[in-house]
Amino acid sequence: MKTSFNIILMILACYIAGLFLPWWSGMLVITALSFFLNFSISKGAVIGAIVLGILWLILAVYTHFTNNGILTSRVGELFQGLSSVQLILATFVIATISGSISGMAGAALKKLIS
Amino acid sequence: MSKLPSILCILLAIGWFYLLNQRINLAPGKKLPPIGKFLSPFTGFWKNADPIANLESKKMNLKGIKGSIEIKWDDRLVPHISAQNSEDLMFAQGFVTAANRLWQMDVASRATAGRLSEVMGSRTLIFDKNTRRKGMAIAAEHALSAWKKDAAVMKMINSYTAGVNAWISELKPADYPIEFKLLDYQPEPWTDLKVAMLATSMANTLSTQEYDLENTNALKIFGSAEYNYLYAQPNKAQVPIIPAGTKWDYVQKMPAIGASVIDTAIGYLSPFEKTPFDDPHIGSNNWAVGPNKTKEHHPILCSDPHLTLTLPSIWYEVQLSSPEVNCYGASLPGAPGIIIGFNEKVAWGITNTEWDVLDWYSIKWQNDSKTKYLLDGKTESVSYRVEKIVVRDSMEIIDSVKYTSWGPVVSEDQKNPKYGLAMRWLAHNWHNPDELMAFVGMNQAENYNDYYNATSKHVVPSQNMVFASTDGDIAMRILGRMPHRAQGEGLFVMDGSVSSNGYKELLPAVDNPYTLNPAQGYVASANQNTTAADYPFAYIGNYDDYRGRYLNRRLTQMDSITVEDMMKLQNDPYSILAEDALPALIKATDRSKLSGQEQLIYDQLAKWNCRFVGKGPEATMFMLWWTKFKENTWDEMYGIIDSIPILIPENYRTIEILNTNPSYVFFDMKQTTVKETASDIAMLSFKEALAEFTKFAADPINDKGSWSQYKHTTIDHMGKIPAFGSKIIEVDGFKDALNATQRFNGPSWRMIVQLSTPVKAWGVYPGGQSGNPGSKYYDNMIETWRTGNYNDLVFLTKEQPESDKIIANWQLTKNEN
Repeated sequence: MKTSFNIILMILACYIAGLFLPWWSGMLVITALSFFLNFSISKGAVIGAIVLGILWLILAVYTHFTNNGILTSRVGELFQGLSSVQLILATFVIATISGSISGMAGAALKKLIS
Repeated sequence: MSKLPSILCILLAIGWFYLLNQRINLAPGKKLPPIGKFLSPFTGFWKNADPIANLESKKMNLKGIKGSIEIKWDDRLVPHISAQNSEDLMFAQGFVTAANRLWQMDVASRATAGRLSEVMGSRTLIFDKNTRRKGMAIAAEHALSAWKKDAAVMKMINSYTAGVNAWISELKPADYPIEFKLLDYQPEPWTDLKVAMLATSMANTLSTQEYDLENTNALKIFGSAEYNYLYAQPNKAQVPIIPAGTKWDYVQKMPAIGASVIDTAIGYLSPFEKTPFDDPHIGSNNWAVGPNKTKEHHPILCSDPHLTLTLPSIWYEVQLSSPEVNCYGASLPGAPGIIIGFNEKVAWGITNTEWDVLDWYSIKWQNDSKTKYLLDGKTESVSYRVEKIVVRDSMEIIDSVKYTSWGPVVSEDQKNPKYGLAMRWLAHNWHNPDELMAFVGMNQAENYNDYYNATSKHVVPSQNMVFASTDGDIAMRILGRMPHRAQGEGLFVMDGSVSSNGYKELLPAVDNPYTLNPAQGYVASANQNTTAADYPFAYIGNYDDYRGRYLNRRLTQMDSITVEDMMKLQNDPYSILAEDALPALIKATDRSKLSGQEQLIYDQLAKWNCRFVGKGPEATMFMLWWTKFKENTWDEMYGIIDSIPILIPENYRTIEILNTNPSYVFFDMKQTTVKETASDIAMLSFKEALAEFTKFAADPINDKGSWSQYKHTTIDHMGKIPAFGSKIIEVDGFKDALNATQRFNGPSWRMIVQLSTPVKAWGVYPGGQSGNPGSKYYDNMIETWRTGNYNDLVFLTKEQPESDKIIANWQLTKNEN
C-alpha cells in the first residue's frame, strides 16, 4: 500500500518536474526521492524503473494517439524503419533503464553518506 | 569494500546520463541525436506531434506591437492577419511565419550565408566554401546597406524581424521544431541581414544561369562557323513575351557602346562543381486573359512558378490586412509581404526573365603569388575578404577570397597558372534602396499606374510580372533592371584586363519592356525570350523553347474562357518538344527494317498524342528514344563533357538539324568505319531505347514502364531527411509542358484569380502550411495538387469579414511592461 502510494507520488513529482525542467528532471526526482525515502538499492532500481517507465509510456502512447501516429511513423522510419509500436517501446525501455539507474543511485548515495 | 557497489551505482548513473545527453557517432557525417533528450515525452520529438484536433485559439501579450492584432486561422492553417497599422502587420507576418516555418527560415538563411557547417559539420563545408567564394553574403550585405537609406523599407524589415524574434523568445527547448532537436542546436535570433540573405537566395536561384565557360570552350573547339551553326541560331518558332510589333517609342535612347572582347586564352576549367540538378529545371508560367476573352467578362490571371519542390514548401500562404492594404497570396518565409497574389482590385504573378546577369572575366596575374593583376595596362592589387567558416566538431576553416574590380576570384585555371576567373554578378553591387517596395507596392496596388510604379523599383532577379485588375486591364512588364550591354557581352568568358569589356550602367527602368491590353486579348510568359529582335538594346538569356509556344497557341485558340479552362491549362501535360521531335524521328526511321515487335512499338509511338500523363508508357518510350538520339548524335560532346564543360546543342536546334541536314558530320559516329546519317542514328537509338525500356518495364515496381515511375517525382525534405520527404508521386507533367512537373522540380504554387467584384481566387501548392513533419498540415495539399485540383482561397474583406472555414483565433495584444 505504502509502496503504491510512493509510486503514484513519484510519478506525479516527475510529471510536474518534467513540465518545467530539462529532459533529465525525472532522473533527478527519482534519485532524490530514492535518497530521502531510504530505499534499498534493489528497491530503488525496481521503483525507479516502474515510475519513469510508466510515466513516459503513458505520455508517449497518449501523444501517439492524439497525433494519429503521423510523427511516430516518420520518426520510426528515420531510425532504421522502426514501427510506431517499436518506437514507443524504445521510449519505454530508455525510461525504464534511466529510472532504474536513478533509483539505484539515490539509494547508493544515501548508503555512502550514512 | 562495502562501499564499492554504491560507488559503482553512482558512476553508472553519471555515465548513463552522459551517454543519453550526447550526440552519438554512427558513421562519418551520421549522428544520432542525444537519445534521452530526443525520446523524452517532455522535451523530445514527442512534443512535435501536434494533436490532430483543431488548433487552439489563444490570447498572447507581446512586447513590440502598437495596437492589437487578430489572426484568424482557416482550415488549411492559412493565417488571415488583421492589424491596425502596417508595422504591426509586418510584425504579425514575421510572427506567424516563424510559428510555422522557423527551421526552414534558419536553414535557408544559413545556406546563403555559407554557415551550414556550423550546425551540420564538415559534410557541408564544400557547399559553404563555394557559397562564400561566390560572394553571396556580400550581395546580402550590399542590399541591406542600400535598404538602410530608405526609412520606410527599414521600418517594414525591422517590424518583420521583431515579429520573428517575438516568436523565438516564446519558445522553450521543448517547442523547437524537430530538425533543431535532431541536429541538436538552438534557433538564433532573426536579423535584418537574414531578410537580405533570403532575397539574395532568390537572386541566386533565379539570376545565376549562364554558360560563359561552356560557350568559350565550344568556340575554341569548333571554331566560329560551327559554333554559330550549332549554338547561335535563334528559335524561329518562338513567340516573345512582349508581342512582336510592339513599338519601342517609350524607350529612352542610350549612348552607343563598342563590342566587348572575349578571351579564348583561358580554357577548360569549371568555375564550380555544377550539381546535376542545378539550373535548367526551373521555370514558370504566367498569363492573364482580358475581359473580351472570358465567359464572365472579367480578366482572369494565372501564375505558377516552377521551383525545386521541397517539404516544407518554399511558399507560405497568408492574408495581410491593415487600413492600408488587404492582400492574399504566397509569401517567402523570411521575407516581408506577398510575392505572388492579389488584393481587392488587382492580381499579379511572376516568371523568371532568364536574363544572363552573371559574367566571367579572365584575370591575368602579374606575380607568382597572384595578388596583382592587369587592368587597362596598369597593375592592380586584389583586396581580400577573409571568410571564417565555423565547422561543428572540427576546426575553423579560413578562406581568404580575392576580390578584383570585377568581383571575387572564384577559381584558378589549373592548367595555366597565369590566369584566374573573376565573377561579376548584378546582385553583388546593384541595389535600389526601395527595391523591396516593388512587391509591397503590388500588395497595395489599386490599378495599372500603381503596377507600373511598383515594377520600376526592383533590380534583380528580374521577373516577367503579369497583371490584371478589376478595371479590366491586363499587362505584362519586366520587373528588374537590364545591364546596358555591348552586343555579345556576357556570352563568353571575357578579357578582364580591359575595363571597357563590362557594362558601366543599367538601362533606366523606363526602358523595361511592357505591354498593356494588347490586341491579342491576353498576355503570357513562360521563360521565353522577352522581346522580338527589334528591341533597341542587347541582352542575353537562357530561354525556354516550348512552354511559351504552347501557351500562346492555346490562348489564341481559346475564347469565352472560364476558370475551369485555366485550371486545365495550368495542368496541361502536352509538349511541343514531342510534337516536333517525334515526327522527325519517325520519318527518319525506316519502319521496314524493324522486327515485328519493334514495329508495334513504333506504331504505338507514331499515334501518341504528345501528352506526358503519368499513366501509360508512351512518354517513357519517347523520352528514351529522344535521349538516346541526342547521345548518339552529340557523342563527340558527351565524350568530353566531364573534363571540358561544354553545352549540348538545344533540342529545337537538334530537331532543325535532323530535319534539314541529315548527313551532317555530327551524325557520323567516330568509333565506326561506315559513315552514318541521321536515319542510321534514329534507327540505332530506337533499338537502344527499346532495349532499355524493356528492361525498365520488366521490373514489376515500374508499372509496365509508366511515365510517372520513370519520371519519379518526389518532394524531398529541405534538409534531405528521407523520412520527412514524400514517397514517389504518380503525377502528370514534363519539363517542356505547361504542367512542368519533373523529378525534383515543378509547379510550386498554382494560383488563378478572377478579377470580378468581389475578387475570387483558387490556389494550391504541393505541401502544407506547417513546416512540422508531425503536423497534419505538413503535406496535406500534395494530393489536391497531384490531381490537378485547387483550394478555394478564403479572402476576408470588410464586406465579408467572416468565413465558416475559420477554425481558430489568435489575439495579440500589447504588453505594456
